[in-house]
Amino acid sequence: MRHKTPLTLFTLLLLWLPGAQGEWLVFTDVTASARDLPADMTKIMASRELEPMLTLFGNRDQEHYQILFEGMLKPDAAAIERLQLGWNIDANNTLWLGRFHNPFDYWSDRFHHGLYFQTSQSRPGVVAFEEDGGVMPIHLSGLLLSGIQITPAMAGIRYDLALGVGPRVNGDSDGSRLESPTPLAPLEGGGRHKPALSLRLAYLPDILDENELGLFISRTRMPTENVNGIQGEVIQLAGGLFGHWQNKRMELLGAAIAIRHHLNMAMPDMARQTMNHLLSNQYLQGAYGFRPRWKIYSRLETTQGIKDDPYIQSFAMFVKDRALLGLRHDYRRQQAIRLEVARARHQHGTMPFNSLALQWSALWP
Amino acid sequence: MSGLAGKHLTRLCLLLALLAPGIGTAIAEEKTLVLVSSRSAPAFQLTRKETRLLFMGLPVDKGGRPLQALLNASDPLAYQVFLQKVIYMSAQNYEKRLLSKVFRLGGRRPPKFRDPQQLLRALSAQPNAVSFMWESRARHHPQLRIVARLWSGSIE
Repeated sequence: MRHKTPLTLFTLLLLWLPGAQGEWLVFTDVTASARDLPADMTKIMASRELEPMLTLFGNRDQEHYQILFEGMLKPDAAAIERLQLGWNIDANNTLWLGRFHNPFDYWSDRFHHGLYFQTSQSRPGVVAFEEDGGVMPIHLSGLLLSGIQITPAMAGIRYDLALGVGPRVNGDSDGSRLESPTPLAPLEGGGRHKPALSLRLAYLPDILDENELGLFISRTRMPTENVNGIQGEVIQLAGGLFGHWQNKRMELLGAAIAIRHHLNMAMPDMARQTMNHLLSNQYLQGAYGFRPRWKIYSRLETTQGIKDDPYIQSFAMFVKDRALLGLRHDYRRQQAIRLEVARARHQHGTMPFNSLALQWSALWP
Repeated sequence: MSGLAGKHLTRLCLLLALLAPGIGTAIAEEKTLVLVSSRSAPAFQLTRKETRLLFMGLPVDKGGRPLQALLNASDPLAYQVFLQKVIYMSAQNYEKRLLSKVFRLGGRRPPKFRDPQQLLRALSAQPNAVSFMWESRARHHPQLRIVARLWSGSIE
């Protein structure tokens, strides 16, 4: 990511400013995976992998402003995931400027890069991060208005309205990849990044609980380069419903998403033509705490309508369907270990394959 | 038969006599957990639901002043009773919820005090600060005002 080093230093400096108070959180995760890959998947994925990851979160909060930083470090990547400067309009509403998680769906905004907070080890394929082969714009840069309106009965309506720029789509022989915008991307010229708009509304029956029911809509224009004959840009329109419900032992979390891609195609020996493709994706995760600190969980993910979509077909790593079963043990304060078995079908592969992963995740201090 | 019953009765009496002093202490004192603020602040009332909101890190205003929750971890028993009887959560779940909220939306967790003197100083220094402690303890500090009674009961 361009501007990464000066921006990180600038942010860390701001976070140390005297007079403001805030939090520092460090997430450490180590994931060991083994996959029974079919021959056509071995080029794009390792059959065995050990991946440590460190996520640093810091924020400073004064009466009228906030600054928030989230950075991620892996052996092969480092990124500023969130860098937001916020103006507290009042106690319940904040206007943010910077790079943030696109307020669509539920997963990204709820868990961000903090794996410890997820019950499961993996994210649903439809909300995979850009660097992991995701097809949706997980990060935007620009303005984000967020807040909650609380009713006298202590129910809440949470809203997020984002206006900014979205990612680019870059293709090569290994397939396409989203290049998400830097915090300063809205200032870049030359049409490198194009406008994006998202709105999410959620109803919380009791603001003291974590139960939510919501809907979202987003429109993102993504410039393309060498992507499966797509010329110029992809316009992605997405909308859907999500819900999260939990009680002392049970937890259910799911979403149903419809996505329309508007593409300008220019294939050799073909007249230039415009295409629209409609696809849909659903995921549902359930968890049951069968003993204190022990949970068993399962998730189903499925996608329909991608067969003729050149955009989705260019993302080799996209997980089309997956069924998984996992076990989580919170064995110490803020430390968890998870064992997850999954059967998944990726865009590139002709056959589904099985995988087994063990993950340790912790949150400090 | 009656001889056997008499033997059992004697053993039971002996057992009760041996355990009696222990039972006396185990049955416990009646305790009351109260919400306190500095007496220098204007008086205000806080409902149980507002108390939960405040200690879950959500904004609560009284007379145009945003209140600040201070967690009293200097008395582990009071802290446990507060979480179980007022917040209705285990300490692990409560701390995870607060961290998750900060990570998701920004803001801060309520500051936690392990030293009772530091807690008293913070309460005195911040007129909008609110904390909890046993009523018997609050009564020893004339600079504190009891805002509400949160829970009463016997503790074994």
